[in-house]
This record gives sequence, C-alpha cells and structure tokens, in this order.
Amino acid sequence: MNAEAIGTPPGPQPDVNELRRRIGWICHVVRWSAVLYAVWIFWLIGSFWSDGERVRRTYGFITGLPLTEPLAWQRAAGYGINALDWLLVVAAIFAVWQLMGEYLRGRIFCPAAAIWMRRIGIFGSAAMVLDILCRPLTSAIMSLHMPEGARFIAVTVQPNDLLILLFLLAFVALAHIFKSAAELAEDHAQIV
Amino acid sequence: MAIIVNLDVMLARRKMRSRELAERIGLTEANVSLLKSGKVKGIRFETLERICEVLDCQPGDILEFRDDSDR
Repeated sequence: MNAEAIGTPPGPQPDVNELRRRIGWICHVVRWSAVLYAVWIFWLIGSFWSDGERVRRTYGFITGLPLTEPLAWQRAAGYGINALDWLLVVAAIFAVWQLMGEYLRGRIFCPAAAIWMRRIGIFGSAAMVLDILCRPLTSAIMSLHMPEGARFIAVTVQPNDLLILLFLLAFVALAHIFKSAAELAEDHAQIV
Repeated sequence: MAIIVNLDVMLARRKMRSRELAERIGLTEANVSLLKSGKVKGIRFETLERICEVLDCQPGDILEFRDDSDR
C-alpha cells in the first residue's frame, strides 16, 4: 500500500509542495547542468585525442620525457578508454536526471528517489575509480611506439580525485539513510 | 490480523455514514474507508479520541483483540 493511496492523515504533515517550490529551480539547474557536463566532457575527450600534438605535449609533460607523437591507433585506444569511462559518467548523469525528476514530481521522501541517489554514488565512484586506474594504462599505450627503455607507466592520483571519491561515497551513504527515511515516511503515512 | 476494527459496526449503530464521520473527525473519506477495512498500520490517539467523541463510544467498542490461535 503506498502513501498516496492513503491520502492525508491528520496531524502535521511536511509541506511537500512548499519544499518543491523552493528546490524546483535548483532541480532544473542541476538536471540541465549535468547534461551540459556530459556533452562538454565528450567534446573535451574528442578534441584532445584527435590532436596528436596535444597528446604528445600532455604526456611529455606528465612524464618529463621527450615523447614523439603517438600513432593513430594509440590515440584511438586512448579515446576508447576515456569513452568507456564517459559512459559511466553518463549513467551517473542519467541517475541525476531521474532523481531531480522525482523531486520535481514531489516524490521527495520515497524509495525510488533514494535508489536513484545511490546509483549516482555508485556510477560516479565507478567512473572515478576507472579514470584513476586507466591513467597508467593510457600512459603505457602512449609510449608503446617509443624504443624499449623509453616506455613509461605514469601513475597519477591527485588530491581532487580522492575528494570527489569521498563525496560520491558520502552520496551512497546518504542514499542508504534516505531509503530508511523513506520507509519510515511510508509507515508513518499508514497511520491514520 | 489480531486487532479487529469494528468501526463499521459502530457506524451502523449510530446510523452514520462514513462521509459524515470523515468530515466530523477531519479525516479523508479514503482514510476512514481504510480504517474500516483494517488496512492501516496504526491509529493515532488523537483520531481515536475524535471517533469516540463523535460516535459517543469507548475505544473498546471500535477496536477488538482476537487471538488468531482461537480460530
């Protein structure tokens, strides 16, 4: 039995409409910004890997080695790895879209919203971890055309990576809390 | 369910319709209907008090405990 079927029980009720009015514009901004972010990242990936000289400069800077321009297949592999990671970002953004949609429909304290919130955390964390793990792989591919001894594997983890991961994991924890809260709210709605 | 809601019996005794009761106790008709059929997880003291006041009865007239093992 869901809360909507029961109607409005007596006593104080959280004013969902008021809450929706207050967060409505934020939901729209978050929704469209997330889509814009996905498009932007896709464009950045495409423009980076299509420019051989830029790839050479970037990886040369990371390793401090005199790197020559990577071959087309190497750049295609780099693009493929980044695109794979981008797909996880898209999955997280889809979850953001759905979560904001739930909020806009006034379904704020409901299990569905908590599930979408958890998916944001899971897909976001997966994207971040994959990004960190793929950096050494990409760097190795970028130096495969170099003579033996000049090849490298660059392991790069920055404080920002860990901070983002921390926030995403906090999102997963929050989603579990929200799910419990939603179940409590549903129970509460069944008391007349 | 061990707790039986006898609201429909009391309504019949008082010759009162669900709609009227709902209006007088400040519940929606849907909620009164769910309460009558026992499809709720609980009832607030506040609601029980209003029902008793309107129907001029005791909580025991509305709620009854029936041991499942007796059946």
